[in-house]
Amino acid sequence: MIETVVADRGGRDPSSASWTDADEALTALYSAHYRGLVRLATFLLHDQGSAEEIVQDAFVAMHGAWRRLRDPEKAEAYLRQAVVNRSRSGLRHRKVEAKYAPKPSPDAPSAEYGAIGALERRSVIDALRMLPQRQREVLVLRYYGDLSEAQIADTLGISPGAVKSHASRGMTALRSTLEQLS
Amino acid sequence: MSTHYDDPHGDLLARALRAEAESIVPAGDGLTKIRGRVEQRRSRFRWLIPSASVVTAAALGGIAFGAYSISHNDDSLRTQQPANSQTASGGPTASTHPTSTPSGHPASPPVVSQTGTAFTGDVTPVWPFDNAAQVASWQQGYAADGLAPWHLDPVYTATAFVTRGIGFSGQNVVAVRDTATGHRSGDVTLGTRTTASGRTVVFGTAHLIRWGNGADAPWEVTGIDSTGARIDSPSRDSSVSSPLTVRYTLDGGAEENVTVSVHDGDSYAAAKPAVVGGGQHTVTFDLGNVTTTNGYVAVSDVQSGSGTSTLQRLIVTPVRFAAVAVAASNPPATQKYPTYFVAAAKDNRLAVYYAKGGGFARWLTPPSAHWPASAPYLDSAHEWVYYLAGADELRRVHVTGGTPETVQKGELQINAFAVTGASDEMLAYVAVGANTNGSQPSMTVQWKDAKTGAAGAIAFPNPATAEQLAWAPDGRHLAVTTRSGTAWGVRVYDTATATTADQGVAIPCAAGESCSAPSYDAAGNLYFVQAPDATTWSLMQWTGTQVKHVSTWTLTTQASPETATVDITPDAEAALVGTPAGETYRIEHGRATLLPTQASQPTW
Repeated sequence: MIETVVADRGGRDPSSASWTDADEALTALYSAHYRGLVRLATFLLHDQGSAEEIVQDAFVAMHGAWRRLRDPEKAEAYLRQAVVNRSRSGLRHRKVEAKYAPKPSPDAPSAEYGAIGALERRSVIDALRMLPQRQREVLVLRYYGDLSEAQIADTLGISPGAVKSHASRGMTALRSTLEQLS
Repeated sequence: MSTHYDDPHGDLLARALRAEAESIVPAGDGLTKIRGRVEQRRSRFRWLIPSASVVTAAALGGIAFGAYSISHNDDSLRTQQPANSQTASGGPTASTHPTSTPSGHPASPPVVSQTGTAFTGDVTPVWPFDNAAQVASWQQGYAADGLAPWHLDPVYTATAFVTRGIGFSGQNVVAVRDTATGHRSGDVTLGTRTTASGRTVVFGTAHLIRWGNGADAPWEVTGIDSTGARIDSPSRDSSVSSPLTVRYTLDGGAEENVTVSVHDGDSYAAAKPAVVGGGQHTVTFDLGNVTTTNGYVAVSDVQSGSGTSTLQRLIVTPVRFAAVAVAASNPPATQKYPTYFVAAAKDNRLAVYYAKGGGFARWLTPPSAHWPASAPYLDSAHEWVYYLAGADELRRVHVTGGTPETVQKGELQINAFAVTGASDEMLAYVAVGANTNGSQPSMTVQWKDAKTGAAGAIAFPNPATAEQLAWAPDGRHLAVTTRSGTAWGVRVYDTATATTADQGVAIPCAAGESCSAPSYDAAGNLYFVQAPDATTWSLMQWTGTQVKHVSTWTLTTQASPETATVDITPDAEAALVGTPAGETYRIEHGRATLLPTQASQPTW
C-alpha cells in the first residue's frame, strides 16, 4: 500500500496511546490518513475540490467527537464513515452539475504504475462511475481502501452479505473493462 | 502491493485505482484549514450556555440525526462575532455570514481569533423589528411596564419568527441548539417536533443578533439556513429590483410542497408553490408594489401525510428593496402596511400591537372597571382611534396616546359605529332606543356630518336589526349588515337619499350563513365575513357587481362570526380579522395566519 487509507493495518503510531487531546490526535490522524481519504472521496465524488472540503469537514467533526472516540482506531472508522456519508450527500448535490462537467484529460502514467496505460486506467475509472452508488462504494473501499468485508459493512451500515453481493455485481459490471487491462 | 484478491480481476482494479490515486495530490493547506475551523468551532462552543429547554430539545434532535451528528453543511462554516453596534442607517451591525461559494463553503479561509471570526458588515433586519425606532419604542415599553420580555430571548424570538412572523402557526417548532443565549449574536437551530412519532425534524438554523448595546437590546432574526438546500440568488443582504428572480438549489430527493415567497416587510409580496426534485430551480417575481426597504426571500417545504404537515425545510435570505426606486421615492398616500394595529385587549383596555408578528407594543387607553373600551377603529390617516366606551359613549384617542375625547354621547345605546375616510367628520352609528314598541327595542342607523351638521337616519323595524357598519371611501355610501331572525343580509345605502331599511343595494349572502364585519378597501370593494358555523369562516369581496371568495380558513378557537371584525389595508393586500374569542387572523393572498395578539377587534 502507498498509504494507510482507511484501514487499520497495524502500523499505528506507537505514541498514539499517549494522545491526550483532540489536537494531538488531529495532527497525527491527518498525517496518516488525510491524503488517502481525499483520494477515497475523489473516487466517490469525481471532484477533488469537493473531496478535500468533505475530508476537512470530517476531520473537524472528528475533532469535536474526540472525547467520545478517544481511540485512533475508532477515529479512523469515524473518519471513513464520515467521508463516505458526506461524499454520498455531496454526490446527490452534484448530480446535475456532473452531467455537464467536462471530462478530465488523461494523466501521464506514473512511474510505478506505468504498466497500466492512462487511457485504460481512465476507462476503469469511468466504468466505476457508471456503477450504482453502493457497488461503487464497496469496490472503492475494498480495492482502494483495502478494507475487509466486515469493515466495509461497518462503514456503510449494511450486512457483510450485502457487501459481498454489491462487490460481486460491481465486479461483474466492470469485468469487460478490466479484461482489456489484462 | 501485498494484498491479493479472490476475484481474478481484483488486482487489476486495485492497480488501476492506485495508479489513479497517484494523480490525486491534495493541496498542502488541509491541516491549516482544519485547524482554523476547529479553533473557530472551539471558540463558539466556549460561548455555549444552553438553557434547560434547549438541552431537552437537543436530545430529541439527536434522535432525528441518528447516532452521528454528521452534517456536510457544518455549522462551523459560519462565523460568529459578538458585534452589537448600530449602523448610521439604524440597522444592526453584525458579523454572521461570510461570503459563500455555491457549495456553501467559505470562499476563503476564515480569519481565526479567540473571540470569533472577524467579519463585519451591515445585516438586513428580518424580524421582529424593522428599524431602530421600533426597537426604541419597545425598549420604552419594556422599561416602563416590562412589556413583551420575550424580545430578550433569542430562542423564543427564533421560534416565534417561524410560527408567527412567517406564519407556520400549526407547526410545533422547537429549538435544537442555541449558541445565542448569553451573547450578542448567535444561532438557534430549529426543528419541528411531530407528535405522532416524537421525532424532531431539523429544518434550519436561524441567525440572530441583538439590536443595540444595552442590556435591553432585543434580539433580531437576520436569516435562516438549511442543510441540503440554499438560495443561490439573490445573495444575502443584496439590493433587489423587479422582476426578482429567485434561484435556489435542492441537493436531492423530491421536495413535496416547496413554496418560494418574497416578503415585503410584514407581508407576502408574492408566493409561488412548486413540487420539485433535486437541482437548481428558478422562480421570478414581480415586485411592483414593494414599498418597504427591507424584506426577505424564503424557501420552505412542508411535508404532508396522515393528516399532519411537517415543516421540513426553511431558508430565509434577507434582501433590500432599495433598488425598487419608484416605490421607494413615491410612497403611496396611505401606508400599505402600517407598523402597528390597535385591538381591544384585556382589562377593558385598547392596546397597540406590532403589525409584523402581532407583538405587544403599548397600552393605548387606561384600565377601566366600568367603561370597557371596545370596537376600536383607526382612521385612514392613522391618527385617531375611535372606540366605544361603555354602552353609550363614542370616544377617540390619538394613536400616539394622550387623553381620550368624547365624540358622541347620548341617551341611546350605541351598538356599532363607523367613521369615514380622510376627513373623519362623517360619523355613523347603530343606536338602540328604549323599548317603545312591543317586545324589542327599536334600532336606527344614524349618521351626521360634523362639518355641515347634516344628519340622517334609517329605522329598522322589528324584528330586523342593523348589526355593523362600514363607510365606503366616498364618505357617502354606507354598508350595513342586517339580520332578521336567522336570515342575514348586507346592504349598501346611499346616505344622500336613503330613508328606509328596504332601500339600498342588497348584496347576496349565502342562505343559512351569517354575513358580518363589513369593511371597505380604498378602491371601494366591500369585504365581509361569511360563515356557516363557528369554525369555518370565509372572507368575501363585493366588487359592486359580484361576490368573490377571498379566503376560507378554520378557526383555532370556535367563535361566533356575528361579531367578527374585518379591517382591510388601503390597497386590499391584507386584512386583519378578529374573532370574539380573542383571536386575530391576518389574511394575505388567501392564506390565514393566527397572530399571537390575544385581543379582539383589531384595526389598522
